[in-house]
Amino acid sequence: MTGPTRPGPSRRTFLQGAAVSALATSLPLGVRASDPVRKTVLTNSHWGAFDVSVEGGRVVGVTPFAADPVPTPMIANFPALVHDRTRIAQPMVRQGWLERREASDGMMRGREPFVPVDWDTALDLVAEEQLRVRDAYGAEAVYAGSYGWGSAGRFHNAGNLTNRLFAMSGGYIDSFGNYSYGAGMALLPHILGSNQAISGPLTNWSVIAEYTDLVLLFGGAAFKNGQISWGGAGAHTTEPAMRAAHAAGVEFIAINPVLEDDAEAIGAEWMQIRPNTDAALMLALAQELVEMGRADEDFLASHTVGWPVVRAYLAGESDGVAKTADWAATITGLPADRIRALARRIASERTMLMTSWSLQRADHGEQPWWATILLASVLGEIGLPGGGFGFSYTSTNGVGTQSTRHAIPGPRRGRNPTRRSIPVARIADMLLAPGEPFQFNGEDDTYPDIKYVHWAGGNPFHHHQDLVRLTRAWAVPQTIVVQDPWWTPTARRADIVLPATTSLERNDIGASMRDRWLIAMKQAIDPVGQARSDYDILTDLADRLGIRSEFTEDRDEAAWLRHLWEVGRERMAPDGIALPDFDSFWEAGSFEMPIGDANYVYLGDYRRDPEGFALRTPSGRIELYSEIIAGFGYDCCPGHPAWLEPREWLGAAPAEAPLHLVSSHPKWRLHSQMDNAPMAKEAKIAGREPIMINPDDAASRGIAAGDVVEVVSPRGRLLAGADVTDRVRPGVVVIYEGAWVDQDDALGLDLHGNPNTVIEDKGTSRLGQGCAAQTCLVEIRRYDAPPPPITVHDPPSILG
Amino acid sequence: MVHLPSRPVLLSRRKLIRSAGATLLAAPALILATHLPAEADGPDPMRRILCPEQECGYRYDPAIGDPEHGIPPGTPFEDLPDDWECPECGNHIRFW
Repeated sequence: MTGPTRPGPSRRTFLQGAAVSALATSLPLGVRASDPVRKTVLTNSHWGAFDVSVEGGRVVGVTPFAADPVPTPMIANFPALVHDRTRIAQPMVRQGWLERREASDGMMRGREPFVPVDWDTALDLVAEEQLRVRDAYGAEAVYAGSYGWGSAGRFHNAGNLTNRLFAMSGGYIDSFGNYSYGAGMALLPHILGSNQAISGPLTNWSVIAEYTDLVLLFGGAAFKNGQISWGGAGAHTTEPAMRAAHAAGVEFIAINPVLEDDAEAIGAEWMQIRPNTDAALMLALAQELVEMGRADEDFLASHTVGWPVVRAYLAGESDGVAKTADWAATITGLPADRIRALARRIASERTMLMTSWSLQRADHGEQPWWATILLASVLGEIGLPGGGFGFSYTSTNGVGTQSTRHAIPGPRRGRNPTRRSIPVARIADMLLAPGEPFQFNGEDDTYPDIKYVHWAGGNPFHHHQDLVRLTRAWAVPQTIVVQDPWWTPTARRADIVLPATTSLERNDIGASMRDRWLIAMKQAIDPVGQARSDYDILTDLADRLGIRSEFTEDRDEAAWLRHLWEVGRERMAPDGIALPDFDSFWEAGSFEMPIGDANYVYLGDYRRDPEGFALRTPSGRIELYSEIIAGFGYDCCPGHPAWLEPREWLGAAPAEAPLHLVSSHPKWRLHSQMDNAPMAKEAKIAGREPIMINPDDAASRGIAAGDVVEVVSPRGRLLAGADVTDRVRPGVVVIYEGAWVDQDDALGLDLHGNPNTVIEDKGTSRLGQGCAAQTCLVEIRRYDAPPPPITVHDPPSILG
Repeated sequence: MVHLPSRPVLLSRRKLIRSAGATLLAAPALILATHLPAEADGPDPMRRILCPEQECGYRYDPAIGDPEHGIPPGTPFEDLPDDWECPECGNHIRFW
C-alpha cells in the first residue's frame, strides 16, 4: 500500500542541516561562520517557539525550544526567510496609481512597476485615500476585513489591529468567518447550540487513550497540521498525543483519498474514499446500525430531536432510496462489505469520530459535519469517555490536550459602527457584484460597493478560489493598500505597499489557548530595510485620521505588552493560575502554565443531565432535524443531514475533467507563508509545486515522476511537478495549497502551481457560504514546452 | 439526577480486556459514575463563558459584564442582547 514518494525533506534531516544551510545562504559579507554567535533570543511563532542566533545583526540559526517534543523543521527557514530578497525594502506605490490615482486601470495591478516613496509620502497617500473614499461614498465603501495568518504574537496581530483602526475611524465592511471552517461555524450553533465542537474543549486525548477502541479519522490523520498554532506553541502536542493513543492500543482508520505519512505512524487502516462523499458513508453507517438493531434509540429519544425524520430518510421512506452500504458503495467507491464490516465494528467498540475541517471545505460541506453528529448520536456514545465526536483534533496543534485554555489577550478590535460583514470567502462576489443580493445563514443581504481595500498580514491571492476571477474582482476598487513583510502575490497587486516587520523585529508575547507556554518574544534584530511594525504603521495612520490617542490608548509597544499581560493575569487568577508580574516574566523569558483538566469529556454534562445542561439550540437538544434550517428553504442545505451530490465529483466526472483535485494544508509551509523559504523550495519538482498522481493515472497519460504537468479546469490552467505515488487514490490528485501564484499573461498559465487557479469560487451553500476548495475536477497532461522560470520569488519591477 | 440510558452502555473493549471483565459487565453504571462530575443541577448562571473563536481566549464574566457596550455587571450570559459581540475578537453571540 505504500510506495516511493518524495515527501520533501524530513524533519530530522532538515533541522540537522539547518544551521549549516542557513549560514551558507544568509551570512552577510564580512561575517564569517567561525565568528562567535553574539546573541541568542527566545521567540515564538505560529510554527512554535525557538531560540534565534543573531550575528552581525542578522539571524543566522535557530535552535528548537527545549520543551518542544516535536519541533517543526520549518523553523529552520527563519534565517533565510527574514533576510530573503522578497522582503519589501521601503514603501512603494504602483506607477499607474501614482499618476492617475483612483482613475488608474485596476487590471494593471501586479502588471506594472512600483515607485519607491518615503514613509510620510506613503502614509499621507493612504490617509488621503481613506478620507476621500469615506467622504465620497461612506464607510460601507471601505473594506478592511483583512484576513490572514501572518505570524505574530498576541499584540502584533495585523488583521486585528487593522480592524481596530477602521472601527475607530468611522467604520468599514468586515469579513465574517474564515477559510478553514467557515461553513462549520455557521452550521454548528443550529445543531449543537455552540461552536465548542470546533474550538474546544474536546474530549481529552488522555481519555481517548484510556477508553477509546477505535478512532475514525474522516479526512485522515494529519501530523502536518499539528505543526501549526496561532500565536505560538512552546510544545507541539498533537503528534505525541496520537502516538501515545496508538501505543496504548487505540486503533485508527484513516478515511481519506490520500495516505499521509502519519497514518502509518499510528498504524491506521486506510479507506480510500472518493473525495466529497464522506456524508454518504456516514449516512450508510447510521442506516446499517439501524438495520442491525444497534441504533441507540434511548439516547436518540432523550438527547436529540428529529430522529424520526432522519430515520425515515435513511430508510428511504422520504425519497425512495435506502441509505444502505450497497447504496454508499456506489457513491464512495468503497466496497459494500467493507462498509458493513465497519458498521458492525463501530456497533461493538467505543468509537470516536474525528472529522477534519477540510471535509466542510466542499460543495455542501455542511453535510459531512452534520452527518458526523448524526452518526455519533446513533452510536449513542456522545458524552461518554472516549466516545462521541470532534472537529479539530487533526486540523491544528493542541486540540484535546491538557492546556488551561487561557492565553494573553490581544488589543480589542473595537466595534465596527457599520455592523456589516460579508462571509470572508465571498470577497470576489462582493467586488464584482455590488448591490447584488445574497443569502447567508437565513439572512438576505446585498453586497456593498467597495472603493478602498486595506489588507495586512494576509494573502488572498493564495487562499481565495479561482484566482483568475479574483484578478478581475481585484481590479474593481479604486485603491488597494497592503501591509506585509514580503512581496507576496497580494502585495505585488497593491497600489500602495507598506513594508511590515516580521515577528523577529519587534517585541511581543507568544501564547495560544491550546499551549501551556507563554513566551516573551524579545526583538532579535533591527527592522529589515525600512520595515515598520503594523502597529506603528497604523498608529501613524491614526494620527493622520485624528484618532491617534483613541487607537493607541496612549500606549507604546512596551506599555501594551505590560497592559495585555495584566489583563491576562487578572483573567487567569479565578482559575487558579498565578502569573508572575510582567517584569519577572520578561526577565525569565517564558512561563509554563499549569496542566489543565486531563479528564475532560465533551458533552459529558449534557449526557448526564440534558435538562440542566440543555444546549443553546431551540429544542435544547442535539438537532438532527433543525426547523430553523428547514425554514430557510435552502435546497443546498435542507433540514437534516443528507447526501447532496457535489457540483463536481468523481461520480459524475466529464471526460474532459476526470480527476478530483484535493488541495490540503502543506507539510512544508503555513499556507503561503514560507513558500519563499528553503524548505518549500526544496520540495518543489522542476521548480513547480508538486502534484501527487497515482501511478495508474500517470501511466495512462504518459507522465513520469519529475515531469512538469499542466492542470486544467474551466477556471484556469497551472503548471505543477509530477510526484507519482500510490499514496493517493486513483482518480485523485493532490496539490498542497500555498504556492505563490505566478500568472503568465501570454501563456494564460499559473507557472507555479497554486491550486486555487483551477478551483471554482462558489460557497458551500447558502447556509454556510464557506470556502469550497475541495470540490474541483481537473484534467492533467504532460507539459512538453519549455516551462518559463518562476519569477514570483524575486521582487517585482521597481523604478529608480 | 443522573441520567442513565436503559440500554446497557457499551463498554470500551480494551477496558474489558484489561479489567476483571465479569464484574464490570455486571455494573456498567459504575464505569460511568466514576467519570461524571458531582454537580447535577445545571450550570451556574454566573459561570464564565469562553469565547468560541479558536484564537481569542476572552471569557464573558457575568460579574463584570461588558460595560463598554452597555452590559452592566451581574448580567448572565443568557441575558445578553441578540446583537452582542465578543468585545475582543468581534465574534457574534450567535456563534458562541
